[in-house]
Amino acid sequence: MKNSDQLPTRLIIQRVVLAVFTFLLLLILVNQNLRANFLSGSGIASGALIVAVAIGIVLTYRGSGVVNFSNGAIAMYAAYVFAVLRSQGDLFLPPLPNPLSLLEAPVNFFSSGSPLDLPDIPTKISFGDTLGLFPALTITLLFCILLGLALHFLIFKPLRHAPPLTKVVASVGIFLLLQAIVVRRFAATPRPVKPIFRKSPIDLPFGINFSKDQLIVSVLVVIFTFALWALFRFTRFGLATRAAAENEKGAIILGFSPEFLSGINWVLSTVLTGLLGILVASINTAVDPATIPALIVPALTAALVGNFSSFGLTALAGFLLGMQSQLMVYLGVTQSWFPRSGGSAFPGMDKVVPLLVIVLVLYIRGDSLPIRGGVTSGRLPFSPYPSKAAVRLWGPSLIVATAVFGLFLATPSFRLGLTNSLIGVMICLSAVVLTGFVGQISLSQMAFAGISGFLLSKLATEHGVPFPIAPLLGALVAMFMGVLVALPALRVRGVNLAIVTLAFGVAVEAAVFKNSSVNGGLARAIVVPPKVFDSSRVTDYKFLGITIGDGLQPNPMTILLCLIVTSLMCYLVVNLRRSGSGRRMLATRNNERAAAAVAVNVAYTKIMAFGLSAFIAGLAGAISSYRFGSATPEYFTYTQSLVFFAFAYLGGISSVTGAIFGGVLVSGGLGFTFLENILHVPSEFTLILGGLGLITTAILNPEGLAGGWSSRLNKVTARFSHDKEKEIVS
Amino acid sequence: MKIRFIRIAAIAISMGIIAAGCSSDSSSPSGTDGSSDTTVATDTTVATETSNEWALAYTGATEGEAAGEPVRVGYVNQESLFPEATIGLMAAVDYTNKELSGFGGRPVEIVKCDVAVEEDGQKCGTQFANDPTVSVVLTGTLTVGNASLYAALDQKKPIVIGNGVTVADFVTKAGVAWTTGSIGVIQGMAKFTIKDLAAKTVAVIHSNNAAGKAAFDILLKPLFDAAKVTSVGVGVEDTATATDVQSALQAAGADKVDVLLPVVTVQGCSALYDAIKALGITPKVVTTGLCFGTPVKTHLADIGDKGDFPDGWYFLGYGASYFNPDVESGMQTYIDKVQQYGKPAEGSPLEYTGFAGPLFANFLTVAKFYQQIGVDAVTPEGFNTAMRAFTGPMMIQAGDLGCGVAPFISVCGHVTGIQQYTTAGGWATIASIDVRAAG
Repeated sequence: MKNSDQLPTRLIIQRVVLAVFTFLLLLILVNQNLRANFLSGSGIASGALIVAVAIGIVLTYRGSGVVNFSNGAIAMYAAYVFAVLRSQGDLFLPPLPNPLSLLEAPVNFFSSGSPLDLPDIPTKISFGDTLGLFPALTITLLFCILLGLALHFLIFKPLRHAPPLTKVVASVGIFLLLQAIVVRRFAATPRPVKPIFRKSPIDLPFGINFSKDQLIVSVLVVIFTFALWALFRFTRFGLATRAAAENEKGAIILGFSPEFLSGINWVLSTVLTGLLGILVASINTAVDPATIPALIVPALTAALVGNFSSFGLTALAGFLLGMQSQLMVYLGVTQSWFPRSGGSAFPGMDKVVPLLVIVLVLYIRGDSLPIRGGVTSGRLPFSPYPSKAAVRLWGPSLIVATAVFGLFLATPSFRLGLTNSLIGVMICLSAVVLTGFVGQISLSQMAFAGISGFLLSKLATEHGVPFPIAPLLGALVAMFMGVLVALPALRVRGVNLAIVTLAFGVAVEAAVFKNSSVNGGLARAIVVPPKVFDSSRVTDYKFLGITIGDGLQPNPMTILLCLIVTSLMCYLVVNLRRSGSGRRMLATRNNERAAAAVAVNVAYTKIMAFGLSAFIAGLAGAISSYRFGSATPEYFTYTQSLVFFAFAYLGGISSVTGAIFGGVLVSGGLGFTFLENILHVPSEFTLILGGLGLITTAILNPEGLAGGWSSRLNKVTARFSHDKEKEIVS
Repeated sequence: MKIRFIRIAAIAISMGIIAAGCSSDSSSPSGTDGSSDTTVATDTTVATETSNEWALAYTGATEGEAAGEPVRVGYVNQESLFPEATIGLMAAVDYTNKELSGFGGRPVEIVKCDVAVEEDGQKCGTQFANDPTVSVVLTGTLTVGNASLYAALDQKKPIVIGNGVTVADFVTKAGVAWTTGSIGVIQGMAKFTIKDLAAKTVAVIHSNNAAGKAAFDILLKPLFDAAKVTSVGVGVEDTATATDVQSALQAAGADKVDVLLPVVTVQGCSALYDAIKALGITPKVVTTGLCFGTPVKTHLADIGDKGDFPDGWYFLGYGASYFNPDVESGMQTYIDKVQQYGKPAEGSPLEYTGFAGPLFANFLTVAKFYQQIGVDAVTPEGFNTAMRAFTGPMMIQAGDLGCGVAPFISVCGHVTGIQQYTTAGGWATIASIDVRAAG
């Protein structure tokens, strides 16, 4: 009954959307200026770049059931391999840990003679000075084959029965790792790529201007799309892949190996993505670690429009998304009705479009991705029930120990590390509530933190709202935004939600945080902390006759503020897990239908989790802005959201202990302060270790560090109890 | 080979308005009257003094090698993006220690702190604020962590800002930038376009961030409006590709305007060149010195085009020219010594036309103050007073200095120089402009 009521509504909305879309398209095509900008070579070429990444995503999903968030990063990595081969004749290798250093270090420590210097692991394979186009292309594509095989055999084959969350985590880990390797090897600045095709202008009918390379790459992308469609439509391999995607068990019975097919598709995907990545870099005549990976959001949007199965629809959506961005630039410059901020066109509107498309598509479709007919499905990370001892003994002890360490014992660098860790714990906690307890993957936690941080600046600096009302208001507004984001989450879950939240994070960063009305432009978004908590204040504090601090920066009181807020949030989440609400969240995570059957209000539970999670992230954003003395767009980026998500999962996504572990590991946190100050490991290894740790954790230890630590502790306790029982019996 | 240099700024990427390279008429390093004087250089200036003599006179040091207890100077840079700044600084340090007797006879030790993420700014600021042996902190180029670095050091240690690229660099009260930086360069672009090129319509392509928007809204547009020049500004992302820039050019109507003013990153310079080529248009381009760096030169060679740099483009910089070096501004000394002491990364050529120059000049100017105050008498307060009162002349920077002019209170240099490159004639010095002067 309910379904029959909903169907016409959805149909009506579908038709309205289609009518609006057709109307807008006609409007654009009849107006000469709009048409010239919409059908411009640069717009079509931008679309081709998006399609290049998107069809790889569809290919991977059809072949293995993995929505590959790292596809843009793979394209970027291949482009780097190609560029270095062309310019230096070297195939660069990722930085690998050298086991010999374990021998070298102790020998040199005890030896007083000449230091032992064992061979290092090579960083490159050299083929000469420079390589020509075809040798470089061949080696790069061979590398892509190996990369595809490695991704399949080392990562996604072991995860084939894992839940979607784990696969998303692994692909985010690959994204971070590939980016980190490139930054480590070549710095973050763009590297020139010798163009493959010439850039001479070509005038086509209807006033369309193309450069030769843009036209060639756009045509090639269309040819590849057709080729993939034909491969899946007409060949035995394509039919077998489709069969395995729809019913894995049936495919096995028919004599196909889903794993073999998956492996072939991974290789096909990485080769195709790599090749298109090279072509994209050739058009751009440069490659950097950010630009191509950032295509992931419009590419995922296009893939979603194509329902992760249609190459044609995906390509069409990709081209349209590219073309709209050109049109948006034109409209922003020329049209007075275009939203404005401080006299200039509202920034980032082209990034808002993919978000709107995603929300519309998911609303209209409702039923999300085509479900893969897997043989079995793995379980989500275990969420332990906090013991009374943990709440009454370990918790307060940890807080007191942290306070003593932070206020009296720690050096300034460790105090700073502790501050970063405490902020990190809060961000990780927000992920624990949403992802760990309710199973909803959010990749936009820093967007909520940023909303609160920038609002705090307005409230505190411009309107004089005092502490602690201003940060609380900031966090409440973040909570409200979280509830808004939860609305589409009522219809979607898992990977789709990850896509929505990622697009949300990108849109907020581009349209809100980069807006000079929000970030303060030249004046910046200043956040003046209460004097007592000012991080740069250097003074001694007396408490019960004891001097707190060493009179150096950072101010110990800043740590105290962070500790108090973090502890409160930890207690809130611990008690949430112990409460009925927590149990309802876990029931929702395990099986929404079953939860609904036992009278759990799934919608309310999800909204509450989103709201609470955004509130915690918002509070972290506010406290962080107090700590820095300003809110800056560079701190609240979507990549930061991915990084914090990585560390939250690494620490343990389903428990407060996990969030604490995650906080220790974050960039600039205690873990890396220790590595940097004591072991002298450079800070740029943070992301490499984070990405690698994320992949390893996803495969070997989904419970994260906290889960592993907890299970070992339980084993020891059980063994101890067992021995005691035996004693009593004897 | 050219990779190290590619890093030159590109990501100044992140932020937008950019510390330009250098250029202009070095024959009038001070005393410019606001009007632009046009002179065409025919050949490289011949040095009348040795480089060392110039440096000895500039710093007030005595010749010889430094010895004894080192003097520690703090240094913060975003090494993954701007290693050239460090090359310039370390060349200056080695030169000073070997030939200029260090600071008052004592060698100088640079205490480095690298910034990679926002949190590192506070970390570096805290480190130097807490270190009593460090009296002054130099910065290279930072796109993140600037604000928290300045907050931590404000009123504790004076900061000599190297190449300002973010808003925080220009409005902080914690330090000074002796070079004119992007502020002067961009205002100079507007004045040159109005007065010398007599443009009636201009298109500005700027980075789509706070600094880039400010470049258009605050520095360029008011000047164009006052001169009744129609201007259109279009923002592009910091990592804009040729395709993105092509869209921006089309939207701005770059094919119809008198002058095109790109205020973009190094990557944006190459992208701009490609986009102009793809559209088949030939606008008159006035841009910053970032566009005469090696990345653009490499790019032109890669795509097989003639000339070292885009033909006919105008470039604005800090005053003295890397390509027509003179003695008076210290440019000849810089070029001689950076080539002698500069240590490029393995397998890379020495890059000295970008962010290395201002760091070299800043260090020698710091040396000058140490000599003047007395190495053992230098305190953070004393140095702070001296550096703010400095009116020039400043090494490789044209014109006199004046700090504290609102709203860019940290920017002390105000004169910018203009050069033009043509495939047929090479480099020509065109003019120098004092951006404080009316008109």
